[in-house]
Amino acid sequence: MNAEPVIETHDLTKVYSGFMKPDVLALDRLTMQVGRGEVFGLLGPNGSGKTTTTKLLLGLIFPTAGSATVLGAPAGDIAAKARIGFLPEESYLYRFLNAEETLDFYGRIFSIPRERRRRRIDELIELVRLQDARKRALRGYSKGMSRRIGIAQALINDPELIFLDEPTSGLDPIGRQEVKELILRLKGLGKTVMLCTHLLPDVQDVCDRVAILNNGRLCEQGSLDELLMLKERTELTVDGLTEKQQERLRKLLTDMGHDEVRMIHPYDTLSSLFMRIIESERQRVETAKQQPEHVSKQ
Amino acid sequence: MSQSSKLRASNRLISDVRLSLRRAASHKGVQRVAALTMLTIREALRSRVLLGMTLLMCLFGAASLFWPADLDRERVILIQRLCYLTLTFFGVIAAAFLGGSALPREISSKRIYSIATKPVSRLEMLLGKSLGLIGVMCLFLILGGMVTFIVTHIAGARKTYQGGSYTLEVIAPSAQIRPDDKGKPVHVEKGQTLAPDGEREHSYDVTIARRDTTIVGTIPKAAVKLHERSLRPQRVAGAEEVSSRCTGRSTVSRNELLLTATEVARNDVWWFDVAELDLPRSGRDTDVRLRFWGLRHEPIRGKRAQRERPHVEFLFQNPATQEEVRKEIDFSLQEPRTPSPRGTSRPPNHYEAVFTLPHSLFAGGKFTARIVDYTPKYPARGRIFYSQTKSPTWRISRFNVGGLPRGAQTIQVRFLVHYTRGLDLIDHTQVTAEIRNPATGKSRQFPLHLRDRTTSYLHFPRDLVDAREGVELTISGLRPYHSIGHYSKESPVYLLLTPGSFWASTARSLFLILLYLSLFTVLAVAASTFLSPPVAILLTLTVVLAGLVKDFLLQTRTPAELESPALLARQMGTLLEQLGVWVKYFLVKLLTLLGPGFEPFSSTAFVRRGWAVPWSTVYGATFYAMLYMLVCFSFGFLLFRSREFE
Repeated sequence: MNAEPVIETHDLTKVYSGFMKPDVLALDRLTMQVGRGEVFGLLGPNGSGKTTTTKLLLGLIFPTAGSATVLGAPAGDIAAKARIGFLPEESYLYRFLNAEETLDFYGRIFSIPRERRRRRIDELIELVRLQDARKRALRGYSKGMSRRIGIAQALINDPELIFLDEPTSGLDPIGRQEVKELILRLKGLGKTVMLCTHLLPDVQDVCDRVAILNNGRLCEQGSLDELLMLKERTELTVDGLTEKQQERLRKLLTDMGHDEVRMIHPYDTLSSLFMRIIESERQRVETAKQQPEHVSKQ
Repeated sequence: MSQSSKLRASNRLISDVRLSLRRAASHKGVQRVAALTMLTIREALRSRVLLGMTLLMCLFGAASLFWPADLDRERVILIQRLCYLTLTFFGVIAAAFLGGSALPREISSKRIYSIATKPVSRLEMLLGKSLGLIGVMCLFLILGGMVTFIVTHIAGARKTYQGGSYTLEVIAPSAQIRPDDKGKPVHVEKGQTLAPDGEREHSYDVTIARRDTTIVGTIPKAAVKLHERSLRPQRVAGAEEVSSRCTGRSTVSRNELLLTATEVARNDVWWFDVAELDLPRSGRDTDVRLRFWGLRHEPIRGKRAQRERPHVEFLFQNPATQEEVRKEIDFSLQEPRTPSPRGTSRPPNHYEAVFTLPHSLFAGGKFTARIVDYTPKYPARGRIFYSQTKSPTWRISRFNVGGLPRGAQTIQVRFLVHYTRGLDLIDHTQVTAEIRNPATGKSRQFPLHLRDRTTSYLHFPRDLVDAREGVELTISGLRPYHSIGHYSKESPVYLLLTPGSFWASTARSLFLILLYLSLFTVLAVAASTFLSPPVAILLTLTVVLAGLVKDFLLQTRTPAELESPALLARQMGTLLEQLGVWVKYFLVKLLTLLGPGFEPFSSTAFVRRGWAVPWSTVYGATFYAMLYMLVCFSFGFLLFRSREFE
């Protein structure tokens, strides 16, 4: 990551503790960086700490240890929040309001002047294709429509940094494609997008870099290309090889000691990478259980 | 400072204030709080909570029209009070439930995510939510106030007697008030001739408690009765507040009695009750039974009660002959068989004495009595006056109520009548009120039903009231034993024109209720920052209940129970009684701390009398509520600022 970091965490740790309840280590010493203009994917199975990370970065909860800065300010800073957009996992919005009123309310929260607010509302309603339902109360919206108005409210302040938690859930394939296009368009505008999702193909389509969490620990972090590349294999992409040329090339490679020569594109899939990482992590935990050791909770 | 520079300075001040307000409104924090406030109000409107509350209020308001008991005597005021009570009741329930659940609902539905991730501080969140809920209460009270207004007017229209714009209380047997009095208390010096009808000169103090009111005229031969009293020592400044309860028998016809007590217990409240005053004209001495009411610091029983019975030396005087008689009277303790003056469940101890009054003392038809000595144990000063009517007819002439556009349209006249016929207490009578327009000479008569210690309403038709001259009112048909009036600590005789504007009364009463509901709303919101909704609601309702219990305890306790419990406990016989004193002491102290009492927010005492709520009460209640809300809010904020939204 070469760009200026927008999000930085250093040993960020969160332990949930409650009265008469055992402590739960939700996030364990997370250190990561997200650069400006990146589309960053935060991946992990349920309970891996994705949502906890997002909540910590947004100031909804407070870290037990470690630190996090967002847009150069400590996580939860009010001034920094003015430059952030957030789409929660589900659109937790006021269902008695209609689309216009919803966007107007959030516009007021950002103290956007009335004229600009009105223009912005029109733009966003058009962007998420809710023109026909702009006066309808949100309680009458389908799940897909709710997601779309959720996306609109996350963009009301034209944010520099956008947190999208499962932005495509509940959307049909066309809607998903549109959201992915929107993310790429936001990237094109220089915005930073942090994407939390389970839908790995979506991540593969839009993300520059990803971080994979499991059991609150960062397992892998890097650009998609780095992570998905199979370094023990070489792929040669050549245009217009005839059968004869292919045979000659295969013979040449065999002569050079390469027994396995396949004329295919040898990319691994994100799903298998994901599963492999999870599996190795599980094995690590299994091993750790067989050899008990003190796990300090910070 | 010249006029123009004053004008410039005031203009500058106004523009500065406007600028400050505009700046405040454009402040981003204010805008965010306003947005959250409006959202909360909108939610209540859309969720039909407000509609439901208003419908219930309408239902109860309409039902109060059919209230069966005693409506005839003060229908309008009773309905007003019922409506206020209904508003308070539903308001408190709504405040507890809305306030206690608003924030937790935001958090549990995770809608807080969409707010807390925006540039909104926790303070703004809490403030916006609280103000929004107070706004909901405000809307509810506006709608409820409209229902109250409509219901009151429906009730008022059905009766001859109607609530009006001013309360006029006439106590003076004879008074002359100049047009330039402007509402300041007017004291007419002793010895001044007030009654131009050639009768004996009287001296009375006259108090006008209304600003900007011009009253012109004479009121000869008015009947006076002193009724208003208080059982609550904390509301009276020592014995200065002593009030009296006097009754006369039907045989009293041409007397006027002025009874003045000068030495009355400092911390106790005492009443005199001349129970069987019979002043015959046949030249024989007569027995007078004097009752002496007392609310003591501590209960006394048995021998001690007899030992400490009041010992009073009276100075009786015949004003005509200046003959004076000093008389020592020992009062003996009577069991509290008579209901207490305010009808509370704890009548005070009362002492009774019977003594014979020589005829020479009241040969001229009247005598005065003055307390010159008192039981040394209770040294203090105080005055009690009593005056008895001489004639059954009295007149108020040419009063002009200023400030009313196009003349007084409706005026309520408060009469207090209390009399006995023989030994039987009779508490109602029918008299005739003649209303006359002094400008046109037009007059009409109306029947007026008077009941003991109640307010009667008299509608003054527009055509009978002149904008400048006012109106003449003659009450006739009063029996000699009738007495009408109102007690005042300053004087037994006064003319009181209180601002009884329906609008002012309604607005101030509703404001008091709003303060009360706001207080509980903020309390519930603060509680919900660290408690689950059911517990927060329960806590709020408990505090409401604690306030009610506190008021009740404060009303029923004696000063010693609060001020010197140790002394009181020592005087108690058994250990259980001593324990009871301490338990009550700590309970009242605890509740005083916990419970916001109803007292500062209660308008019913004023409404019951047909008065507008005084500004002093409004200011006091506002200060109290603000302080309480500030404490609750600060506490809630301290907990909310560190709360995590998991």
